[in-house]
Amino acid sequence: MGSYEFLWTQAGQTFKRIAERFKRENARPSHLVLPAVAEQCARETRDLLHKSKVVNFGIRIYGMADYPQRLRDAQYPVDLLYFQGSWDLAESPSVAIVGTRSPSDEGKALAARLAERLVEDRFTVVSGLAAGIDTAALEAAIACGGATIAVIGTPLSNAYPPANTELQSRIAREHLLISQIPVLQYSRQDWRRNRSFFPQRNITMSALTRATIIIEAGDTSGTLMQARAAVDQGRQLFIMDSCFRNSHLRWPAQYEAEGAIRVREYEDIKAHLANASPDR
Amino acid sequence: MPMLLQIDDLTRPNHPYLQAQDECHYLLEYTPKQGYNFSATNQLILNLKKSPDRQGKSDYHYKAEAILQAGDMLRSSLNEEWLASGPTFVPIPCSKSKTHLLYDDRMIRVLRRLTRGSAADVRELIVQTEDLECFHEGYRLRPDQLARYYELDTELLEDSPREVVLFDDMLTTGCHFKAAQSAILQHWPDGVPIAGIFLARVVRPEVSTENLLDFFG
Repeated sequence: MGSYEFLWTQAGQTFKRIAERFKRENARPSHLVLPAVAEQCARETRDLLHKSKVVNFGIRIYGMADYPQRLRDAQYPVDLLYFQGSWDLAESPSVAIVGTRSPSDEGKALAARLAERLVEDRFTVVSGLAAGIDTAALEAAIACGGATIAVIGTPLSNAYPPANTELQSRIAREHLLISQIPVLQYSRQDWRRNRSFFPQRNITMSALTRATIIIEAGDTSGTLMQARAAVDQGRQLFIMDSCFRNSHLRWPAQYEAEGAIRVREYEDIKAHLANASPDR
Repeated sequence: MPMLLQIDDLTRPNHPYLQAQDECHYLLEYTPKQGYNFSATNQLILNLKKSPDRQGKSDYHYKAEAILQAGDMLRSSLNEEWLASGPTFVPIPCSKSKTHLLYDDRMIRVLRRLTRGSAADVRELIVQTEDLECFHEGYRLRPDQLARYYELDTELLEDSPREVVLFDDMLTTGCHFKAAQSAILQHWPDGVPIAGIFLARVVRPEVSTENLLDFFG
């Protein structure tokens, strides 16, 4: 953990560069950093998390027996994840519901209804804890007794938007909260640079889940990062019919041409999920 | 090849009896009583712990499969050169003595699988003199109290081991490890290197470190 945090504090790091370095040197984080430096960074990381009342948390490192192998399907897979809650859920059949931070009322209602249907069919609902669609899907899944996973674009110690602080704590206590974001580096750089972490977690979210459902998204939305990842990683991608009906948007047709499924009713999703590979 | 991890400052608070100088390693993390059983880890542990009184029932063969799987996973995580140096693996006794109907020999079977074809030696060095209630049923002793129920098998004491590895499937508070460690050190007061290897460490996310320490004093 300390080694991973240290590597991130080096100038100009990205998930791509870090993943490439591990791959090139066939190494784990601890192989690349002096133990004393790593221990110092681990202590600082733990102190930062403790200060924000994140006391009980765990990590998963590539190479550990319970690191999910399917995360390696990402182009630049994460080598370390922080989590709180029940890791067991990471291996449950799961589906991501994502979309814009400023949805229409119909979009929010649709996200909630889909989450409820997925819970009925015993899927874990996964989302990013952003405002809008993410929040609507997670809240609805929890309200009807379902299991959820939130993959966040901040460290475990931060919540964004702040209005979701309580929801994030609840998911950390009763469900599963996952973050790949380096704690030290996040605390040392400003929000403009930290903003770039948000789309990165969408790539991990896609790799973690069996399928991604997009409710609403503009042509430049960060949500499309997850659409791209889902296609590249061989995951099923579902796009709601309303996105196709919006004549201003070009992306739905583009992704449909690459194999995305246009969803007119829930049964479209259900039928395709039943055919998906069981380990995804 | 799965990676064996060492208990460190980050993980030690979950195991309040362990001290910084105790060298303990684990392969998996097990989260009990969460109501979910999706993960391969949780299923492996639950199958491994199936009570011997289920023998003959249709699900009992899962236990034998789990024993082989646990042995193979652990073997693939170990350094073959180190195994060739001939460490002595000692199973930590389960709650029932060998003559009890519910005595479970899973640990020795995992160790036999783990060490097959290697120079490593497996010895049931520690004998439990009385039956105890299962620890997971809530009856708790401190390591010094538990150690009173441990004796060493005198027939197995002739060759001094060069290194002892205490083995258990689960690391919870660290009580069994500390009791077994003290039983061995009483016989070899000049010291023999003792490490611990566990299939899984137990993580209870709902219990904070402070509460555990309050509970165990």
